[in-house]
Amino acid sequence: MLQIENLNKTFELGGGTFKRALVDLDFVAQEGDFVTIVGSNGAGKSTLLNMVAGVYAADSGTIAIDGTDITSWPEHKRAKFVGRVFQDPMMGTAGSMTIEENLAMAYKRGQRRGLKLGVARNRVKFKALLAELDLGLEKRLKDQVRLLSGGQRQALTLMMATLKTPQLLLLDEHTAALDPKTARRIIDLTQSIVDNHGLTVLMVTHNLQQALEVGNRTIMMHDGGIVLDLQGRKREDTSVDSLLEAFSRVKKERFLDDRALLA
Amino acid sequence: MLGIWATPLEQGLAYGILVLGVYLTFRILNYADLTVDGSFPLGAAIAATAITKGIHPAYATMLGFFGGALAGTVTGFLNTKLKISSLLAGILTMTGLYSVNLRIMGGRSNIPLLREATLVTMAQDKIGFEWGAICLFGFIVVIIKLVLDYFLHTEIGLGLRACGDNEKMIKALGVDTDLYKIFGLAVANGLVAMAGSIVAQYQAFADVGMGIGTAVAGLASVILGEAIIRPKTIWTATLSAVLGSILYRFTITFALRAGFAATDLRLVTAVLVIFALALPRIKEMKLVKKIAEAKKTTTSQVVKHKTQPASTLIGSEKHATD
Repeated sequence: MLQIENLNKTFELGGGTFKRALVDLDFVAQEGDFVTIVGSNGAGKSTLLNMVAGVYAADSGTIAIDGTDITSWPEHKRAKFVGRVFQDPMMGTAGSMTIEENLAMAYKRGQRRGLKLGVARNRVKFKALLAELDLGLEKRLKDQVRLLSGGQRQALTLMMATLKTPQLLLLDEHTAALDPKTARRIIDLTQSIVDNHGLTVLMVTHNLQQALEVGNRTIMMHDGGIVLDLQGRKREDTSVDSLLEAFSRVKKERFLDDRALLA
Repeated sequence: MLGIWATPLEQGLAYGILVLGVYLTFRILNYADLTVDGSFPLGAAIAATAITKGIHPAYATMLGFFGGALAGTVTGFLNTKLKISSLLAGILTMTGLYSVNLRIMGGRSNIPLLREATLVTMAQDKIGFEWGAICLFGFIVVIIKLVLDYFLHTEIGLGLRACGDNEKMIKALGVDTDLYKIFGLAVANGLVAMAGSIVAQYQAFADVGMGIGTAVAGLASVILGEAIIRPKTIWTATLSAVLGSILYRFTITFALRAGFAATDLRLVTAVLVIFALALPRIKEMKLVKKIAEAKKTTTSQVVKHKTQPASTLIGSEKHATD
């Protein structure tokens, strides 16, 4: 599904200093994988997601989705394959535009846009979809999105990212800016949308509990590389404590074979 | 019948086309575009030259539109592809256009159209001298407003609006924001130049200096309209732009009658725009003051509250002793 080979990215910080954000990174996600990504600040989690989305160009290496090499594709072209939800609830929607207009834009993700009215015939469909969210938004189609709460906006963004089923869904700490209760709701919503569509997902999170609970695979990043890859039984046997322990060990020793780590 | 208000009404409607263009960049794309000062006389120069060469004034006006669209494309290219800041990109195009405009006008700084048939003289012949220009300009500006209203609700139009609202988001939804911005600037400057073409026909000359201050006058009109209508939808926003344009011309006429010299008007306009742009900041400062005062009063109330139970206590004691 998603194949990343030997990916490198270095940022120039100015004044002759550089930050190697991704170092010779290899990663393969299978169709239907729901991968949670953990790691300390500066580990390269967000960079990885942004590279897949095309925000930054790769220094070297390749990124392919379903066998199509997209390494040189610009961001807006990759939108055809990729749905995204950001950490900042304000980031995923256009505040001055109405709920139905936001949905209409998302409905055309990665497709050719024309001179047909954006909302028009889709209003009924949008209403039905919003009703499923159970936030009362179906009665507020013509309200500007800026009037919504952070949680409502994030729920809407999630819906927009998956309105046209994406091959790959990228969630960049999409619950981090919300209060615990709302975060819980958004995670539940994420789970049900992902299950319904059988999506392939990469989700960055700082919540280790969440990282182990949600999805079927967890990777840990450090210094621009993947230092731990948990799946199946191995993942089920991992607790938050042992993950934390792994965290501190990785920090001390820079690199550890994951087998040794869990022994 | 219209008396002294005929001229500002005619001007307001003619410049309304320009204000719709300014609205498109300033409010929809969130882009303060100074190309306007160059694309407005560009439209006038193209139309005047074309008309004196015997081209039908309707086609001459269309040519003006396309000239302006080209100018907007240049600004958009400078900004999006060469990463020159939006203000500087506009200033550069505007500066270059001064020479271009003089070239188009064959090296003359002024082309009179007094003896030519223009859209305005044609309308006045058909409808009458008093209402001719008003009907013509009103018709054109309403058509453009309606087309713009429709366009901004189409799939492309929604994408364009999102470019000004949340660029990161609409890029993630697959819109080539550079291309959309260039397109938006092209349409906006096309409208500005079209206004230039029409104003040249209205005043019966094109002058290379007629663009100075039009960008700021356009902003002032947009802001004035918004202050009156407080638009919440696209339909009302475009309406407020046109009404703002008329109101602006009325204000100017009023200021002139109040004794301002014509040369003072640029200052009046600039102050108007500064005031309007500063308004949110002023409101914010007032709000901060209010909150500070409210805090003061609530704390003093709390103090009163504390003393109150004591007095009631004394009262109850009295009751007890009674």
